[in-house]
Amino acid sequence: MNLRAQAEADLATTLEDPTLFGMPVELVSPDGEVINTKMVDGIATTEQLCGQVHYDSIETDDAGIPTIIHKPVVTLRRSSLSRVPLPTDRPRWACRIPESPLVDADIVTFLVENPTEGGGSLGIVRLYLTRAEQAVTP
Amino acid sequence: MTMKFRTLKASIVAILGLAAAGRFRVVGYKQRGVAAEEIVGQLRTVQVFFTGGKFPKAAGSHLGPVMHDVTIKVDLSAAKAAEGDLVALTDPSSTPAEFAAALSSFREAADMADDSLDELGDIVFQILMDGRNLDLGMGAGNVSPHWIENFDKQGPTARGEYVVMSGSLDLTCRVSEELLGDAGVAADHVLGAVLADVETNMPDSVGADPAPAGIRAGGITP
Repeated sequence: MNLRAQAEADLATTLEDPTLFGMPVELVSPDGEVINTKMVDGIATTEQLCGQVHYDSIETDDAGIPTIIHKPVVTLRRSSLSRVPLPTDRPRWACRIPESPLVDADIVTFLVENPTEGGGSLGIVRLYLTRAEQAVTP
Repeated sequence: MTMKFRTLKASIVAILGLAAAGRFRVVGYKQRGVAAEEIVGQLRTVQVFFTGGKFPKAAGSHLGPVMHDVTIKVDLSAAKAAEGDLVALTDPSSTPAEFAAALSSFREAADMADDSLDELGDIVFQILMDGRNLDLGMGAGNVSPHWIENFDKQGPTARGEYVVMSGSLDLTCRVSEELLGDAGVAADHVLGAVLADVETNMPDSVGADPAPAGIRAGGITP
């Protein structure tokens, strides 16, 4: 197994293990399909889809100053997904994650921001999430 | 007595603040940075600040009033998140068709923010150009009829979880500034005291002349 293949296999531990850093993730495709279980070696399983969630990230503000902002970024193992969100998909995908890293945190729904970032060489896909709010009916 | 352009800015802030009616928040200065959460939804912000003025020489004198062509910038900001049928999207009992319909119902945050800023620009323009505010609260005869020359928009920019649109209105008018003069503080009270303090506290070596007249550095006086 070469180094890249080994790194991809290690994602099962470093990215997806719910006893380590893995957090439950649920995707909703533009056609309404809910993806919450993972694929293993191309075969669908009943195992919960998990990935790594970073709740805060750094953005550069208008004055050029890096600012910590609350904007979740989800990293998933590409080979665990039956479908991969594409930047061209419309309407956008939805993504459900725990509100915080705490056990029993409420599940919140975000939209997947365009574009997604594909880490082809390391077998990951990174989803940048954006806030979704209930529309107010006038 | 302060110059009129300062009173004018405060007066515009007051006019906008009274007319805001919860639709936006008025700030009387240019903020260093604003969190998107501060300007999201109904808390759109309007910042009023003096950006510059001109004093046409032909319209003033040292002995009388000086005409001041004032430019006041009114900055507008609106932040929005994507909005749609979140209730259906989060309902686990929804069918795939209902999920798909819910996803299709979302309007992009940039679109929402753009609409929100247009609405804010509309409101602020109508308030400031309202005939009842012709004197901008300064009293009749104190300010020439003002004019909003342009409405610029910038963005959208992502700021955290929100998308922000900003814009500005440039309001110009002419006020008459009174020349009352300012003599400052008499020199013997300030400069004299400083010099006395220097003489009293400075060590001799510090005060010594490093190059007394007649001696050149590295050379001999001819």
